[in-house]
This record gives sequence, C-alpha cells and structure tokens, in this order.
Amino acid sequence: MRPGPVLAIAARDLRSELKGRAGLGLPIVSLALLLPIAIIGRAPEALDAIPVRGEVPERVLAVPGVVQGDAGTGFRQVDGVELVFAYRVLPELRAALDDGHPAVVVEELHPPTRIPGRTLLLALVSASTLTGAVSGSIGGERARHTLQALLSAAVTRMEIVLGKWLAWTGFGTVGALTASAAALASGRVEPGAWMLAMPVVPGLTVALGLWLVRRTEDVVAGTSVSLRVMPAVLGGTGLLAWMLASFTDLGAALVPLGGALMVAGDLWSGQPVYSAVALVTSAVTTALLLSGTARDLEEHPTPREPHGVSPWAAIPDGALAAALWASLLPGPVLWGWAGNPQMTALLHPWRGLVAGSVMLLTMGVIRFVRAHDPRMLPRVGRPALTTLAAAGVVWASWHLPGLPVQNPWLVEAAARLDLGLAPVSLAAPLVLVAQELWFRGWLQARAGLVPAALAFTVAIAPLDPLAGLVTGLALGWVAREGVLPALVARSIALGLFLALG
Amino acid sequence: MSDLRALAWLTIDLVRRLLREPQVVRSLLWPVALVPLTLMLTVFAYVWLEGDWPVGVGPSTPTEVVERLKDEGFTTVPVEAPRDAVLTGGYRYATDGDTLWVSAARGRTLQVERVLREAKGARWRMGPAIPPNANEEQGGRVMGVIGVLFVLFGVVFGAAVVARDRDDGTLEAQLATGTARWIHGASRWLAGTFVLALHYGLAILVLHAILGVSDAGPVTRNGFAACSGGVAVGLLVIGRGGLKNGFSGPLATGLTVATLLAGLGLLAPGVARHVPIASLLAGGDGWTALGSACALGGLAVGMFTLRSARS
Repeated sequence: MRPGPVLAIAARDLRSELKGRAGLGLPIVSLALLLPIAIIGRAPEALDAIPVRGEVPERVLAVPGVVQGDAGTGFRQVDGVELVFAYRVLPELRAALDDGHPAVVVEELHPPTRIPGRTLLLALVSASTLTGAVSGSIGGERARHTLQALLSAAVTRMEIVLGKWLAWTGFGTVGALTASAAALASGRVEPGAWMLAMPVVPGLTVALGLWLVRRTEDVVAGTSVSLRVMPAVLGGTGLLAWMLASFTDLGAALVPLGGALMVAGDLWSGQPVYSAVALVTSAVTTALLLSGTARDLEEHPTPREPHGVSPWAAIPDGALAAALWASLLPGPVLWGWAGNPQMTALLHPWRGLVAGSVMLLTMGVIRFVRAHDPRMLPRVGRPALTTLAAAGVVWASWHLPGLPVQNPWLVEAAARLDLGLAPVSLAAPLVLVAQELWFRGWLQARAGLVPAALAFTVAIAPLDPLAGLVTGLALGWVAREGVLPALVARSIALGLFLALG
Repeated sequence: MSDLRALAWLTIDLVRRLLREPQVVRSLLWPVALVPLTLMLTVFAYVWLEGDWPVGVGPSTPTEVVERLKDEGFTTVPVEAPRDAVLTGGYRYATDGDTLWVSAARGRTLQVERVLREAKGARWRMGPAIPPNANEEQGGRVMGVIGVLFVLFGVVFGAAVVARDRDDGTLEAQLATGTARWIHGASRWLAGTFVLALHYGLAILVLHAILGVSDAGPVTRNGFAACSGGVAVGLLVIGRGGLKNGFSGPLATGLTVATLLAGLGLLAPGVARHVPIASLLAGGDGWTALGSACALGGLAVGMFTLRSARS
C-alpha cells in the first residue's frame, strides 16, 4: 500500500466534485445543516409540556408543565372517584394524584431508557450528506470509462478504493468536527469519548456506500441504491443498538455502525470499555467493506434478468409473491389479533386482492421489460381439450382438505387466503390475469413447471397446500403451450365453483 | 405535431431505461414494501408486548384481589417472591396486593393496577380500557411520509438522469438531432414523474389494503404533485452540472430544498397546501398543488432548455 497514489486519487475525487461554483453546494449544505444542530439551544418549555383533558383535579393542574386542552391524559369524576384514561401515567401526575398517600405502590423494575445526546445528530447528518458524492464515485467513473484507465494504471484496486474512501471520509469528518467544535465553543456539549466517533461514523458510512455501488453502471443506479439503503442502515443499526442497550451494553456496542452512533451520542459516558468495543467493531467492519469493494471492483455491473431456466429462480420470485400476498390478503387479520377487530372488518379482502394483483402485474411487466431473452416473454397459446380437463382437476382440488387450524384468527386468515385461490369477487379477472402471468407466464418460463407450482402453493395457498399444489401443477401443465389455456382453465374452474360450489 | 411525437417517444424511451435499471426499480418498490413490513412487525411487537401475560400473585395477595383479576380476564399464577418474578423476566407484572411490580407501567399493566385500586377503594383509578376505533385517516398521514421518500428519489431522477446523459454523450447526441431543445427537458420531467407516480399509486393501493386510506383523491393528487415537483427540483438544481463538473453539490442542494419544502407542510400548512411537496404533509384537495407542480415543471424545463442551449 503506497500513500502517494492513495492521496492522489483522494485529491482527484475531491477536485472533481468540489470544483467551481457548483462544487460549493456540498460544503455549504453540510455546514448549513450541521451548525444549527451544534449551537441552537433546546426549548425546554415546549418539550416538557404535559397535556391533560377532561375534569382535571386541582392538584394535577398545579403540577408544573401541565397544560389543559383537548389531548393527553384524560380525567373524569364518577361517583366521587377520579378516573384516569391514558396509555401511560407520567410519574409527576401519579405523584400528584397519590398526594403522598398511594393506595397502591407501582414500582417499575426496568432500568430507565437512556437517550443519546445531540452529538448523535452531528454524526448522522455529516454521514448522510455524503450520499451523492459516494454514489457517483464508482458508478460515475464506470460511466465515463475512466475506471478502466485507473485499473490498468500502476495502482492497485485497494489503492483506488482507499483513495476514494479517504476523500469522502475526510470530508465528512471535517464537517462533523467543525460542528463539534462549534458545539463545544458554544457550551452546548462537554468534551468526551463521543468525539472519537466523529471520524468513525462517516468512515463506515462511506465504506458501506462504496460497497453498495461497487457494481453499479452509472450515477442513477448508484444514487438510487445509496438513497435506499444508507438511511435505512444508519437508522436501523442506530435503533437496534439503542434498543439493545436497554438489555445489554456489550451487545449494543457490538452492532457495527449502530454502536459507533451510540458512542457519538455519548450514551456510554464514563464507560470507556463499551465505547472502545463499539469503535473497534465499526473499524473492523469498515476494513471488511473496503476489502470487499476492492475485490469486486473489476466485476461487471449487476446483470439484468439472467438468461436460461433454473429451478432456483422460483425461490426469490416465489418468496416475493408470498410476502406480498401474505401481507396484503390475510395481513389485516393481525389488527384483530392485536385487539382491534373493527379494523380487520373495515379492511375488506377485496382491497388485498386488488392491491396484490396490481403489484404482481406491475412486477411482471417490469420483469418482461427487463428481460433480454425473447424466450422469457409469455406465449399466448390456444386452449384445447386438455384445458377442460385441467379446469375439472382444478375445481375438484379446491375441495381437498386444508391444514387444520384452531386459532380463530388463523381461521379468518385461511378464509381470506381462499379468496386468492378461488377469487369469488368482482376483482376475479384482475386476480386471475395477474397470478397466471406471474406464476405461469414468468416463473414457469424461468424455473420450470414443478418449482413454479411449489411457489404458487407457498404464496397463494399456504394453508391449503394440497389444493394449491394440484392447481399449480394442472395449470402449469396446460400452460406449457402458453398463458391463455391456463387462464381459461382457471376461469372455467371458478365458474364451476360458483355454479356447483 | 412532430415535436409532440418526438416528446412521446423520448419519454417512453426514458421510462423504459429507468424501469430496466434493477436498482431504480428496487429503490422505488422499497417504500412500497417497507410499509406492510413495518406495519406487520409493529403489530407483531404490540401483540407480544401487550399480549395476555399472566399476573404473578404473591402469597400475601388477598383472595378478593385474585378473584377480581380472574373476573377481569387475567390469568393469575402464584409466585413466592413477586418482585423477583418480574426482575427475572418471567412475568411482566406481579403483586402482593399492596404493591404492583411491573417491567413497564403502561397499557395492559394499568388495567392490573385498576383492579388493585378498585379492590382497595382508592380515590383515583385507571378508567376502563377504551377499545380502539377503526378509522382510515392514519393511512393518509402515512402516505404523506412515504411521499417524501418518493420526492427524494424524484430529485435523484431529475438530477442524475441529466448528469448521466450529459457525461456519457447521450444528451449531446440528442441535442444534435435537430428536435426542439425543450423536448429533452420535458421528456426527462415527464418520464421521472410517470415512473414515480406509478410506484406512488402502488403504495396507495398497498396501504389501502392494510391500513385504509380515506379520501384517496387528495392523497393521490398531492402525491403526484410531489413526485412531479421532486423531479422538477432535480432538473433545476443540476444546472449545467454533470459528473465531470461535480454532482454531489447539486444533489445535496436538491435534497435539502425538497426536505425544506416538506417541512414547510408542517410549519405553515395554510400556504403549504398549494405548494407541491409541501402539500404532502399539509393536506388540501391537491388540485392547486398539482397546478403549481405543472408550473414548477414548466420552469424546470425552461431552465434546462436555456442551459442546454448554452452548454
């Protein structure tokens, strides 16, 4: 590893992004976001208000911060008893209500939740502003065909990646440290171990960003993937580490990025071991990501739809359809299970049928648009006598027994799922076209008859596996000639079901 | 007429290019998938946290309290040391009749406290649990937040598509074809808006199925206005920029402008309901926001035409 080429590549990246008047945009936006967070004070009055409503007792109204209005903890007097309506009664209100003589003592045994400080925001914002720079760093080089020139020059892949990482980590760190200095100078925060996390968070974020875009073809793809994944990873790991810290500080510190974010928020003030573990974990993750990026740098960009038939193709596409169908059709049953059956009743299954079908159709159309192989496009085909036979088999299979379910919410979910298999609804044409195009038109062409039928069973009829499998196999058999025979067979089966039950 | 035909073909071509890019499609389906996933996980977590946990009752708990708890539908389990039962994590609440030890004093825990207070004839008590109602207003609010995500992608589409095409020579080749220059800006604005609006529409359908969206018309119009506004902001901020001239500055500016406009919806809803992007969180019927979005799109196309003529 030679520092010369690394520094040269870093300087080149910074020069190309920060030159001219347009280049001032990024530093100005970064400082405009970071400095107010660093120096503006908190408005305690507004944040500490305790809203109450209804017939509020005088002793509660006397509590500092209590504001009577239309929202918050509710009070009502019934036969001399004060009734309180709330999801949680704040300790201040509880103390006022007890008035020194608690009839029942309530003791919370879990440790109080620790809230990270404002310095967390400095690290988060400084890392978030790097999305654009990191996105174009590799994709842009690839689009301009300069990546090949770099790779064929006398620099190693690791030197290229390190140079790019150094450029944007340095930029993010300077922003975060400038804002930290402003916060320290204005007296808003005290110096501490959190300052060590200021270079680590942007460092890991940039490493993650470079790894995400290592195979992207251009800046549109690069920015899309960064914008999708980076905020989710920053927020998700931060939240995970914060929640874990309620149970185990060591576990929280071991969360890559999330642990460093907690250090940035000074969560472990006075506990240097956890801060050290978090920073080391994030540094190791950074090194792994950089090495992965360097390894894959020369690989071709992510391929579009793969060519050829592979049974394994049924797994991702089947899982996607299953997740979609399960959340949209029986999904609303969860509301009832959680104590709100009115919500389940309101969310009629036809909504799930329409939404799920439109989603399947859209995904199918997108897949066909992206497919380069004409064999992947669905054939229409012509119905024949076998179509009628398949319709009979499908109709008969709908009378096969399903899995035994006892839980009332599972029974309700099964009833909703039945509508996906035999859509007795005005949405039936849409449902049939969407399912047949996805499972028989797309999936069967990519994965073969049996895997497509299995995927159909898992996605559409998980609680009626026999019916789902027979339907999938019978329709798949006639769909070898095209989608239309399967569509006709399913329609006839539905007609028989409506007429004969 | 030939200009309009060229506009249509260029727009279709750009839509096809966007949809053929796997990362773009994944990114747009991400918010659509994120909604059911988050909602379902939240409900699962709620069921687990607020589920039918048994109440640990110590040896000194009066029989009357135990009977009252059973009458209210709680399962009671005798425990030797109620405080330790909660501390070790086996129970979420336990009592000896005078003290209630809890892991967190909220939700269902308060209903256990209500029974204890009733048994003791306490001066204040928790009111009976209010059954949750079913309304679809929350769906509209959630769509506002999802819309902000789409706006951010709109800025990316507006800015990055121009930057990419400028740097790989596509834009130069298109400008050399002799078609009117405004067509190239307009096709990019229309294509970006179409692709975003398509996925935003899907998000509405999905949310309507699992949470309900009341008044879908205004939600749709405000969302479409925001998608269009996001792409227009991207086109405006990219200027004559490209990957060679720096892309991150214009992108950061565009994302900040879009976020500030969204924030305007919370700070000044009266004005914001007529402004694209801001109207997502401010409400309103969406018609004026849609009109303003078209005007903003026209401005963005005009600026793009002027700049491309000079570049």
